[in-house]
Amino acid sequence: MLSAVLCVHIYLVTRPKTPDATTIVMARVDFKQDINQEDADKITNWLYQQKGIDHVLCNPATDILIFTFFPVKTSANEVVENLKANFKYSKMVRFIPSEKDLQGGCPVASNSFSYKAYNFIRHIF
Amino acid sequence: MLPCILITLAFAPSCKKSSSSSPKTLYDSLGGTTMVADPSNPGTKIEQGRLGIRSVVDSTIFIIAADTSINKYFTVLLAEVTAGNLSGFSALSKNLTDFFCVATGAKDFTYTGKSMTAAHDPAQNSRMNGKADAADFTQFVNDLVAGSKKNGLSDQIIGRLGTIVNTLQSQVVQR
Repeated sequence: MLSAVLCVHIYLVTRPKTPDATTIVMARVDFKQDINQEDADKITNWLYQQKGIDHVLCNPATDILIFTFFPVKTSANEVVENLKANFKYSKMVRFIPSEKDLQGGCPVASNSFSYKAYNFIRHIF
Repeated sequence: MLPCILITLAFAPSCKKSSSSSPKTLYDSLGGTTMVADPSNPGTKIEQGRLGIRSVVDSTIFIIAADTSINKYFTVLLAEVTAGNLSGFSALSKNLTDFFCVATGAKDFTYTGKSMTAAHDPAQNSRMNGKADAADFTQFVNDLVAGSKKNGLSDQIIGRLGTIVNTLQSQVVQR
């Protein structure tokens, strides 16, 4: 009985919550073609004028765009669709990591006990 | 009771003197515990040293995320929202900021993650999908320097930060 109560408690405490006004999410766009510095600057300036954008970095050396946004104001897919509509880089795609990608790397965000417990209990429910 | 108070008072000035003569930590050089407005959270205050470190960390994370030589280790940055209402970006920003605050001499924060050796050892950390090599570490340092420059840190401060980071190389590089 106590174990069940503990499981419910951990689930309630650690479950993903609805994003609020301070939640920031990062997204990545791969252009899949060469972009130059001038266009990188144009894209950066254009993005900063869009609703819900927090910060932007467009790297012409790797042809990758990184931006953070407030999910209560916009979504990454909406931003990317608008980007495609306004710029000539039709091959661009939003990079979405797979479950497997998310399991690896980034050692500083390593599994804490609560994270392991959350995942364990999430699979039960 | 009274003798205790007298002893405490007698030692208080000397304690203060010794602490004021202690060398400035890197955290102090970045503004230390002076409270300033937090630009990311209107209406709240943040230690200036932590704000400086968080700014460098966030800039560095952006650079790493767009750096194809090491961004494969950091795809978790692109996770939307996880437990505790933090996205992968926010969680890494907080963890790295905590780590560097402690490493640079902050007293008001703690880093509760794994040790650098354990964190980078696939046998001890299932998130680590392979051992990092010297080139990975060098590229991380390069990105950290670029992030520091974006935030206007002086070469002298960057050098001190580099000294701290380089002490971690033997723990991080495991092949």
